[in-house]
Amino acid sequence: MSLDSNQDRLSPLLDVVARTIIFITVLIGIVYPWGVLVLSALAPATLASGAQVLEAVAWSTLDSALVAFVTSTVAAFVVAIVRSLPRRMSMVFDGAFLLPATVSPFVISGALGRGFGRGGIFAPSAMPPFLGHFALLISFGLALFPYAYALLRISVWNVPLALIDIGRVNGASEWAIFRNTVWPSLRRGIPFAWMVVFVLAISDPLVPMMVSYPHPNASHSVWILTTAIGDTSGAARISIALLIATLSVGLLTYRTVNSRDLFPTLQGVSNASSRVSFSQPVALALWPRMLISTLVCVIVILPIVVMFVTSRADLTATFPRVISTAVNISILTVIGSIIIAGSGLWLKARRPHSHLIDILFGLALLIPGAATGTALGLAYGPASTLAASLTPGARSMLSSLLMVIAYLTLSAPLTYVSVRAYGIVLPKQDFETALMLGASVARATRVATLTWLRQSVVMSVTIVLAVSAVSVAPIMWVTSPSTPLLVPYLYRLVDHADFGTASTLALLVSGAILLLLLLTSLLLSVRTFRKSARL
Amino acid sequence: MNGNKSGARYHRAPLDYTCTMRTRATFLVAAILMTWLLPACAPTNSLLFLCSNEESVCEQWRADFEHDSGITTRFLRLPTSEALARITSAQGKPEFDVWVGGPSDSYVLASERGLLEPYRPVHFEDIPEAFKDENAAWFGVYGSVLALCSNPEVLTENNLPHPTGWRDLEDPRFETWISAPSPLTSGTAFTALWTQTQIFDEAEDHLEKVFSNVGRFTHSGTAPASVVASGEAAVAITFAPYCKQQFASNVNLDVVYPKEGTFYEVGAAGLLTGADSSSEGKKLLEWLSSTSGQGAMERAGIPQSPINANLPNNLEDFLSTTNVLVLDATPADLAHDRDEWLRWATDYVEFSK
Repeated sequence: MSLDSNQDRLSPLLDVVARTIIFITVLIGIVYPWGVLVLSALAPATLASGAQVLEAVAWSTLDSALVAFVTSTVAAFVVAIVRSLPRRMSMVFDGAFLLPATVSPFVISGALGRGFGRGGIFAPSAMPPFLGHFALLISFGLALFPYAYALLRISVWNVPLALIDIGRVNGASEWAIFRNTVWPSLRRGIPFAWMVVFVLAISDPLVPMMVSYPHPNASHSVWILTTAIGDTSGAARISIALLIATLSVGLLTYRTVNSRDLFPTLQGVSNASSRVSFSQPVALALWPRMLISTLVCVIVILPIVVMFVTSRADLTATFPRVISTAVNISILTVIGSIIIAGSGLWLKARRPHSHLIDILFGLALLIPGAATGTALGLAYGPASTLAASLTPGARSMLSSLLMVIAYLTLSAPLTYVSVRAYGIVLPKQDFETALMLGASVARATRVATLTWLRQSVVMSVTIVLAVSAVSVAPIMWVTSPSTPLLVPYLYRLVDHADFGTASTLALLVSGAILLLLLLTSLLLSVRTFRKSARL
Repeated sequence: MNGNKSGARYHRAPLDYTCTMRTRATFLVAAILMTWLLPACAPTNSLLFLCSNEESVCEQWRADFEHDSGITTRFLRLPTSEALARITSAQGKPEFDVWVGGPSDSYVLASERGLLEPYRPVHFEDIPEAFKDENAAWFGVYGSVLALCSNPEVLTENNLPHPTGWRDLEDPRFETWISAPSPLTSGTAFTALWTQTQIFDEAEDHLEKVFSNVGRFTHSGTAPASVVASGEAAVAITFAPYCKQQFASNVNLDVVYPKEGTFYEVGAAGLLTGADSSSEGKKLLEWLSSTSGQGAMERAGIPQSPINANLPNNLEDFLSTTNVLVLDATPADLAHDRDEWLRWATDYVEFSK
């Protein structure tokens, strides 16, 4: 049997499977929940008037836009400096700046309050409480800085380093070199980083609850109306308004990026040996750059330091149940993520020039978690028509699956984007190579799949763990603060001012995420090396 | 050719062996995973109750009842307002069998909405009339009196007055020093809000002044005492037992009953209409009203008063002997004002600037 005929038979079959999976995913994750949400919004009774809806959404949009602007601007400035540092130093800063990303924003907010607010461990007695609008902006800024930083760092990976060295050899000023080499890449990444920070900030109801409540906030209102008051109509209306606001902002960002490809900044594989130029900047002393980077780094990791200082060893009796439930839900989420992201990647690999799959996964990430949570809760929650029509056993299963679906709405698109970012496509090359070496179709498929799975599993596990430990939306909409899952449980502890226990738990999970990240990067660097060597 | 054939055989044998081993290993891992995961999703016939008391009491109820009855029991803890919203939206097919804990005014509403199925436990007659529904849709399990819980150390350090009543909380010097639960999520908060509306003629004006001094509205009614104990705030509006619970951590807190008057909660219990494990639910209700069930709060370290009139330190005895000024009202009074004040709270707390 020839290689071509084998491929001819297998590929269409896999196309059908992948298309079916994506179709079912879209149906379960988007079409049905949003259909229910729109119908709920049409219901008349609501505690939220039209003016209140608009006001809440307007404030949330403004707050999130401001947070995203400041965070992206500072991150761009820091990235420009860090990328000019010697490689070992820049690696240290890369690691340090990413630390807060392993902790939920409301825990960062709690740490700032516990550390520098009234009665805090580092605060003088006259210190005002860490509350109010300013506290909201600071909390989001520090918590979301790592995301902006990481995206912008990736965006400058592909800067033509030879051009920088040529510029220096020919006596160009550092500013001219920066403006003509680094800046074009950085500039393309800024709107993307801005958008990610914006979406994360606008979806979080817990930071407003911690520091600035009462203050109009759409996510918080949606959360309270859905879970506490049962005003599904009001919650649905705010969710739709929130979605419209976010999509409008997203459209503006898309136009700013000015590219049909949704992930322009994330393409290409980092070459570990060429992240910084071989030549050193001329007329720029190292110490100011180090000083600025260190200063920003200290500020960014201050909440983590507070967590270390305040952590207590006495974890509650609920802790083992939290971990076991989180592990059970995470295993199903990892499997789901790999299947869904894998199907998307297969279809993208088959039609590289089609942007449909990119748009689909990109849109999934663009939808605010608050709106997704409301939609999922209305469609599959205990009060849903679907749940009411099921037997008690099936309802119990549905409530467990709902948590998995909630995590999948984030982890599947993130897995897809991450795999795309690392330039990994489905192991078509491995498959073809195995066939050329005489393996059967089944064996070639198995070899190629296992190779891909090894990397995808570890990446997906890392993403799922990070999502389950950090993301507030949409999981807070489909659980309660007493649900033995990481984020709801952490929120319960912080709400009860038990920050010592919350710190310990958050730091343990943060350590696990960092270990997995290390493992992921090692495995991917092996893959990248193999790929580079083959090419 | 022969060499090639034999070579092929030589290579294929260990390859097949390896595949078989891998296949077995894969099946083994899959079997272990399924054994691990399926029980987490599998339906069970155990009793599931919704609990609106402090989590430690919920856990005590669960463990003690399971021990005494042998019935596998689970619970979900939700603040009272959330619990009411959750069972109301269940469209007649409740997820839970029994609802326990939280002020009884929410049970009055649940009963009016047909969500509770009447049941008279053996000890029903030992519960005073004021603390149970005449049709036995719900009955009291414990009682707590609303109080101001203050941290004297924080008050003194910051030159703040020691509050003795609701009016004192209007003082602008208390700005951000008060910790209170959100009336949108917590039954405790609604009891406090309603109590103040009964005492003050200009209730909205008074509440706005007090709420403007609240630093952070907590999600749960049991949380403010912890916030004050941690020094994050100076005064908490909460039920007295939650404040006294902090004494175990060697934190010095003052429990003050507001001089203008206060109210109390009758933490109730009721069987949910259409419960899947109705007979097990009735056993739980029997147990909750028994001596063993009535002592669970104390065993959990929260000194909530038992409701059974035959037991020492019960709520009726406390109310009849105390010097504290307690409003004369029924849970139904609270229940009927609930919608109006919830709307006010939504406008003020959720949508105000």
